[in-house]
Amino acid sequence: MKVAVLGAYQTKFGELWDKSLADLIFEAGNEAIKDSGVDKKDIQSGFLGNKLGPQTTGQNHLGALMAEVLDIKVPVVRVEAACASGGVAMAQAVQSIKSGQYELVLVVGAEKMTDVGGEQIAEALMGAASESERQAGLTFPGLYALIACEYFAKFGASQKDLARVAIKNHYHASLNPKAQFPFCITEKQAQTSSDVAWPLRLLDCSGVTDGAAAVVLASERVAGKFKKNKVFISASCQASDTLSLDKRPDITTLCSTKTAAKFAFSQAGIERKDVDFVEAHDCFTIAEIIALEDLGFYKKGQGYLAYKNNELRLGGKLAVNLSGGLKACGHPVGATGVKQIVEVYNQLSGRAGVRQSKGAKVALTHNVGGTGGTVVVHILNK
Amino acid sequence: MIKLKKFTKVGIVGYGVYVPQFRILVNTIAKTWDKDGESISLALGVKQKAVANMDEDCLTMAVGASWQALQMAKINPQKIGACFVGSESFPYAVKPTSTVLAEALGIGNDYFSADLQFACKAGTAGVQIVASMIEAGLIDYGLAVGSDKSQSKPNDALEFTAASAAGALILGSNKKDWLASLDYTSSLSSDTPDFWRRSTQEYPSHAGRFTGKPAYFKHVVGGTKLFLAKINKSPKDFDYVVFHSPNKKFPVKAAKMLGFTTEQLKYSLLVENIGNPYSASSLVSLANVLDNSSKNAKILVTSYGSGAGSDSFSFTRLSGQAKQKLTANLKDVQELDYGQYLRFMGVVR
Amino acid sequence: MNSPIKIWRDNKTKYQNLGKAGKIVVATKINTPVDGFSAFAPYWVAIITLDGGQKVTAQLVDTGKFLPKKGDKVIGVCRRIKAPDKVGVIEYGIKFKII
Repeated sequence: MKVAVLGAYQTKFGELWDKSLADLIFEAGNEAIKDSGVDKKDIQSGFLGNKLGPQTTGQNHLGALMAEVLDIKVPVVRVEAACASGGVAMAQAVQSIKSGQYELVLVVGAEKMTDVGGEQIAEALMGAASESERQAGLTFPGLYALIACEYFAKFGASQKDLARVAIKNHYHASLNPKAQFPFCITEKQAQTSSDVAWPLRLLDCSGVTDGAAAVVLASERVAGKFKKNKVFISASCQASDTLSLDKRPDITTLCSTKTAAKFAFSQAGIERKDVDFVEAHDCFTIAEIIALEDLGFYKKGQGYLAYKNNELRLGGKLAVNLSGGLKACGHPVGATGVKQIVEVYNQLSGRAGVRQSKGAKVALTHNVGGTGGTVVVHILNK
Repeated sequence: MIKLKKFTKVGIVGYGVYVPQFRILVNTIAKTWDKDGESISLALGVKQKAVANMDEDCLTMAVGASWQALQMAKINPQKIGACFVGSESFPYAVKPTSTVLAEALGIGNDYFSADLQFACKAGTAGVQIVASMIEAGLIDYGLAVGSDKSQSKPNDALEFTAASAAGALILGSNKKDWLASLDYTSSLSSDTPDFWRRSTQEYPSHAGRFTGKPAYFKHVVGGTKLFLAKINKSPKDFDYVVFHSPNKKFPVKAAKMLGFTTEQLKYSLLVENIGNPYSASSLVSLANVLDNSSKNAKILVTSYGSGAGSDSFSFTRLSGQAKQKLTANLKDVQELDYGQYLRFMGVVR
Repeated sequence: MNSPIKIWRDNKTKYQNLGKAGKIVVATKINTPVDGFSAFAPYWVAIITLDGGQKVTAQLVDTGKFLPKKGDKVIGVCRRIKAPDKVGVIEYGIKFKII
């Protein structure tokens, strides 16, 4: 049974001082419903991806908040899986339709991060790591820095290779009016930005962002009633790995990405070469490189070499992060997984404007929680 | 009045020292306050002092020293029946540090314990209590620690010497495990307000030159004289002597006043390079003497605590010189500037 | 303020690596710290393999100008985990020092 995306919307991502979490849910949810053309009262269920609500806003019981804000008195559940909250919300929503329980659901991913200071956000985000990692004074940049150090040592990559990822994603973001950082950066800027956790510099790390994204999902039967272009979800797969980095045999591989991708490609019945573009989880530049390897597009240790030419840019063989990715479009944690679906929907529906991937038919989204404790992969097609 | 008692059941089975890796030169401190570091250094006989890092305190250093002592003693920590920590820089005004130490070392729950305060002699007071408990047959092993991350007011005279370190002794009742026997102990005590700190104050106060003759010398020299008379011994009966070292000048003068030689003092003047770590001072010096002394050497220790009092001990070394000297790695240091020093001491954050 | 009950409950496990030796697998220097660690920043954190084979993640201490790297020998020492506040119970634990 196929699940269709009927409508999609993303708010501007950035430091949205005048918008609360409720405001963001309101905007994204209502605009997505409007975009889909469905009647709000026909929505049967809601799923909200959100990681930090209680810490940054003091608000729990977020399913009820969404029901109130959007005026949809239907079952709404909040899903939390660190930075994969949005992706898992999507996966749960897809499951609810495939199971036959519902035929029309709304998925929202929303995050409000800028109401608290930098060190408090860093501490809140470390909730996605393990107790011993927190006790060690680690931060998320620190965790991915450990991965990058090991990757450099094993495969000979360097900080210059990381910079190429950021430069590419900023170029894409410069074409995306909704991006947090819609401007290009130069190699010099990337190389001279300040050290956050060696070898990761400021421009290797996604920033602190407010934002929300939403999609309307429908069963094939309900979708058939709408004449508009539809995009179908041909695979929705979630996998787990250990919470702690130090409990893994090889920290340069996210086994959860490998597993989720394996099942996703099998479920969709396609091969790597059939994928036209990818929205990958680049919370840090090293994460995107490793993602492309673990998703199976490049051999382990060779991913960083693909950035030396244009194959991963708009117009290339496998465009990655046309939205600007987490780095340049922004990373409102719980919203990202849903935003990735929004970007794919816009691309496959031909609405991506100047960053349109021409002739694209198949896309893959990759959303990671923490350092890979949770990964969700979706495959969508026209 | 203290009675003469020869201890027959108490000996040192393990000892340990923890001195932080960081130093600040007397010169560096002097420069900050536009003072003449060279002459101050010369007058005190101190070149530099040890400074504990931001995440170190009286407890963490006590763990470091005690763990070393435990490795040397080679006993199951659960056999320890008493744990006393002496300090004037406890992390808590109320809540025992000695039980946190015992927990860290795995001593269990079946032990006597208290935190002790008597300025720089709080650590040796603990040694007396543990020794008495062993002699009385209440316990087989006991741990006594002196540990301080000493606070001193910026631009005060004591700033040049107030340092951080910990010294630990494990005493035991089994003769065949003894590295040294404890033979006698005694104390001299009085109400002498030479140096004090009120509970709400961050830094101690002192009475200037009053800390000399009527305080340190009266109790160190007077206490040692009284002790020697009690045990019917004289300075020449000892191979080594340890006096509490607030600087180098005082113990050297005390030794001279009592008739001890510089040779007898030679292993107890670590103050030159680590400063005065208050409650740890005498125990750290004793450890250095134990490291460097041979079998049958006689060791006299007199500690001093302001307020005031002194504890005297007589030990006899029973085993040979230590193969691996605990104080050997005191050379492996990192030098701080004044700003870093303030940061490490928590004065600036 | 932290939880005194959790600190007490963790007593059973928090000192188990005291005095244990190991080697650095990978290390990084944290310049932007989390709340509670700002006083120490910048500081090094590493994944360490203990001599018994077990892996641990911990802060490295007293590194000074030294640059920790893969293979460096380390030993577990007792330290304050965070810069404590003036009111709560102090949290101690094991960090690692290069030997």
